[in-house]
Amino acid sequence: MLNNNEILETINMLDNQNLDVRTITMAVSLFDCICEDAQKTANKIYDKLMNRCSNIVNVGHEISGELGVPIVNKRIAVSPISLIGSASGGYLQIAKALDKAANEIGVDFIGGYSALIQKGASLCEKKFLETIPEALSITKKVCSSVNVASTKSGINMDGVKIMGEKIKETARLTAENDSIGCAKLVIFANAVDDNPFMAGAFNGIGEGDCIINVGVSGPGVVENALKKLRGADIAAVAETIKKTAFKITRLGQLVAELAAKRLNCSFGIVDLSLAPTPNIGDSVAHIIEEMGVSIVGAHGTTACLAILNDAVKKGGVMASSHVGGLSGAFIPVSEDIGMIEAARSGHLTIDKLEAMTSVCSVGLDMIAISGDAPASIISAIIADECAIGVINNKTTAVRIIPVVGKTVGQEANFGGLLGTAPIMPIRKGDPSAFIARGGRAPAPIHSNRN
Amino acid sequence: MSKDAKRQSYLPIALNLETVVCIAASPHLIVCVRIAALSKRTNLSKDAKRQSDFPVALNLEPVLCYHGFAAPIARNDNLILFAIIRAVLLYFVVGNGAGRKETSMKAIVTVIGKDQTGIIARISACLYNENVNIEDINQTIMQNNFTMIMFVDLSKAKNGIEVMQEKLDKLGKEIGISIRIQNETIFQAMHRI
Repeated sequence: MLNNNEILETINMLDNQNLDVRTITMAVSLFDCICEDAQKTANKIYDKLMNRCSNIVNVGHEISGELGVPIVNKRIAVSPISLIGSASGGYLQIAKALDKAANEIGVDFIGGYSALIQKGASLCEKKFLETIPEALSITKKVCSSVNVASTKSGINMDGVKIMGEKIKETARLTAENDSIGCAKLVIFANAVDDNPFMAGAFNGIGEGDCIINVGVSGPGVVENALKKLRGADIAAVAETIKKTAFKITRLGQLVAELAAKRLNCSFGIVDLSLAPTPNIGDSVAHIIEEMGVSIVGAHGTTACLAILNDAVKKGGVMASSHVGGLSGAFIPVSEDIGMIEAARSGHLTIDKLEAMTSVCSVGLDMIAISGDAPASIISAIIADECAIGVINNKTTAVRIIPVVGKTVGQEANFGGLLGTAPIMPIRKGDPSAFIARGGRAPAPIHSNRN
Repeated sequence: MSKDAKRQSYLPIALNLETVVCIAASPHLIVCVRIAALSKRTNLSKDAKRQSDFPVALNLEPVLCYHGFAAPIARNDNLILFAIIRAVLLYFVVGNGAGRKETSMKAIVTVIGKDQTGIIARISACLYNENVNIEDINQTIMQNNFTMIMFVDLSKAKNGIEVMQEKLDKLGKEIGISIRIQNETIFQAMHRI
C-alpha cells in the first residue's frame, strides 16, 4: 500500500519541481528507402515516416493526459542520412523530405542528418559533409551530427578540420538568426546509437526498424531533494541523488513502455540524463550549487559533477530494464539558467567546461563564441574534446556556435528550449599549424582489449 | 495512407466472427475481407475501460453482403437489425480483446488547502455525480492545512481522467483549494521496486 508521504512527494515533484518526460523519440530505420533516384528516395522516406510516426504526437498527448505527466517533446531520429543518400547523392532532397514530414507530423526536431567518419570518410560522405550547412539553413527541424572520433579508431583529424569549417559556414548561412544552424549540429567522439536528445540523435545501425527511446528530466527534483540535506556528508548526498534518480527514471520507463505498445514499436532505452531547461527550478547548475559550490564554474565544480553523474547512473540503472543514450548530466550553457548566469558573470569559462566534460555525459554544449573565431580554433576545440572522449572511453561532443556579428559581452538568443547564450571568450593562441596537418590520430593503446 | 497523417498505421486484415456469420448465412461464398481503420480515442469518455485504439470499423462487408445476400438479416429493410448484430459481434470479438489495460483504472485524488466546512462533502458529491467510486480515504489537518488523499475507481466513471481533472480543477477553484487526480500507475512505478 502506498503511504501518504510517497503520494504527496510525487504530486509535489510533478507540480512544483518540473518533473517531466523530456522527450519521446521514435528512431526509425530508413535503409529500406534507398533508391538510385534521389527524388524517389526522398519520397519513400517521407512516406515511411508519415506511415510509422504520424501518431507520435497524439500518443504523447494521450499518455500525458492519462498519467498526468507532461511529455515535453516528441521527436524522430532516423538512420544516418550520409548512408541512406549515398546511392543517389540526393542529400538535400532528403533533408527537405525529412523537414516536411517533421512539420506535418508535428514533432519539434528530426535528427539523423548524420555521418560516421571516425576512421575516414568515403567519397559520398565527403559530399554529404559539404551539404550540411545548406541543409541546416534551408530546413527548420532537421538536426545533424558527425562522429569524427572513437576509442577504437582514434581521431579523424581530417574530419575535425572539415567540421570546423562547416560550422563556420553554417553560422554564416544562418547569420540572421544568431547562427542558429550551429545549434542543430553536433560533432561527436564515441557517438551513441540510441540517443533520444537533439541535436545528436540518430538511429544507429543495428538498432532495429522502429524503436522508442525516452529521455526523462528532473534536475529540479534532485535539487529539491538536496535542500533537506544541508550540512550532511557527501555519502548522504550521493545516496539521496541515487534514490531520486531511481524515481525519475521509473517514470521514463513507464512512459516508454506505454508509448512503445501504442505506437507499435519496440522499447529501446531510457536515457537517464538530467536535462535542464532555461526555466527556473530546472537547472543542473543549481544542483551543483546546492551541493555546496557557490556558483557553478568555481573550483569544486568538477568534483560535484562527478559525484552527481555517478549517483544518477546508479539510481537510474536499477529503475529501467534498458538504459542507454548518453545517460549522465547535461551541461548545455544556453539551456540552463544557472549556467547562463555563471557564464555571464565570467565564473564559468570554456576551460572549466572542458574539465567538466571529462566527468559528465555530454561535452561542450550550446556554447556561443564570437563570430570572428577562426575555423582552426573551432577545430582545435573539437580535437580537445575528442581527445578527452577517446582516451577516457566515453562520449564527448561539441555543439559550438560562432555567432556572426556578435562578440564577448553580447548574447545570442535562440528561443524556446535552446535558450540564451552569452558569448564566451576563447583562448588567443593559434592552433592552425596543428589543424592543417590533418591525418588520423591513432587509437589509444587501451583500445586494444582483445 | 500517407495522405491521412492522423490515422494509425496499423491495418489489421481480419477474418472474424462477422465474416463467419455472413458466409454461413449467404448462399454465395463470399470471403469478406475486413479492413478496420484503428482510430484514436474519440468519444470513449463514456466507456473508461476501453483501450485507446478501439477499432471503428469502416469496412466493405456490408456492401459485399448486401449485394450477395439472400439471407433475411442482410436485406436493406433489416439494416438496423444487421447493424445491431454487427455491433454486438464487434464488442465481443474486438472490443475486450483489443482492450489492453496498460494503465490502471484506479486513481488517486489529492486535496491540499486551507481547512473549511464542506470540502469532503463537495468533492464526494462531484465524484458521485461522475459515477466514480471512492475506495479509501486518508485525511488529516496539519496546522490549518487540510490534506486528503482518496483512492478512487474510475472503471465505471462517466468520463475519462482528463475530464475528471478539469471538473475537479473547477471545483477546487470554487472552494479555494488544490485538487489533483492522478492515475495510480505512476505512484506504484516510482515508489516500489
